[in-house]
Amino acid sequence: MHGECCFESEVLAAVVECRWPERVESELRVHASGCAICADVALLAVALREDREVLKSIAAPPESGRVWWMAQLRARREAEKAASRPITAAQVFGAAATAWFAGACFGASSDWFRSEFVRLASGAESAGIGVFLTSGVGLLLLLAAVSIIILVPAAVWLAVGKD
Amino acid sequence: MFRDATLRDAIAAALAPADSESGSLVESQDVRADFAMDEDSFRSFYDRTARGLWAYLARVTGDRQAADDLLQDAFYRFLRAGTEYESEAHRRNSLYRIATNLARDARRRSVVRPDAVVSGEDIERVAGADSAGSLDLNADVERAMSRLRPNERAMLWLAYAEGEPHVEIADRLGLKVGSLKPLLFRARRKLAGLLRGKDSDHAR
Repeated sequence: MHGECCFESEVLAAVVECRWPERVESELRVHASGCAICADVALLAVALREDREVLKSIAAPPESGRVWWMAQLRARREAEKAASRPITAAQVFGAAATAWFAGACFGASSDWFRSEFVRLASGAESAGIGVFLTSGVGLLLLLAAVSIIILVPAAVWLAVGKD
Repeated sequence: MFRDATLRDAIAAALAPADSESGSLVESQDVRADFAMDEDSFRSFYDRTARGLWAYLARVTGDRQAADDLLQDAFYRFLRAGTEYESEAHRRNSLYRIATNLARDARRRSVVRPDAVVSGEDIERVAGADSAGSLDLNADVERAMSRLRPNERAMLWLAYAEGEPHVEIADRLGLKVGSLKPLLFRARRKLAGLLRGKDSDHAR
């Protein structure tokens, strides 16, 4: 349920046009003093419009030229970000494929790895770690392991971390 | 504050390295073409509406800082909407609808922290012989509005501070005109009661 008064819009118009209460017909003033709806409308319209003027006078919006150029800058950045999104997806795919390939290679050569590891352990025991590292295969194995451990997470971080 | 020419130079300088790094992925002309209006039209529209919109956002959010942030965001999204507008009223409605949605989102994300919109430092900036009376009234309105729901504040502001007709208010707030009337009536009674509780002389 809601009440309406046929003079409500007239009272509001008088406030908006700064005619309220002095420059309105006395009948409207008399009506408003006895009508709860029009009295509320007059109260709120006067209070809120005055409040609006106070707020407008203290508002310090940035200069229009600045807003325009900042909007351009932001639009440009967003467009660049949107344009680079497929590249990022390709980078993530590449990093995942690399990791998969490295894992597959490692799995295929695991027997060989185990034998090299046994040789490492026995070599380290008998002649120290230097023997293993000076053997070409051992050094290659070590470098591959380090690459997988360090480079793959780094590549994934670079690809995903940008966003 | 930046002068326009200085600002343009500063932004151009800031953009230059980005161009060379990205291989000019996006030219500024392309960005400009996405905007709904040209610079002169935008600046003119902004100058006509920014203060009023700020006042609306400040009252709806009750947070001055949020109003500052939302104002710029609203104009940016308005520009990016890329819509052709039939009239000034249509354009304003669209801007206010964007601002209303942004204020609603900000509230949901709890980035709005209601506080006194008018501070002691502002008192000197309020012009007019009866500025003390205006500031008292402003404090009363602020207190009373803070006890209303944000949607009630928005509809009351648009109806009585901006003097907008129901059709425009409904459009800006995403309501049906038929639903607006009872909501507005209840909100009006509530705010009038709160204001009368403090001071019954404002209706004069």
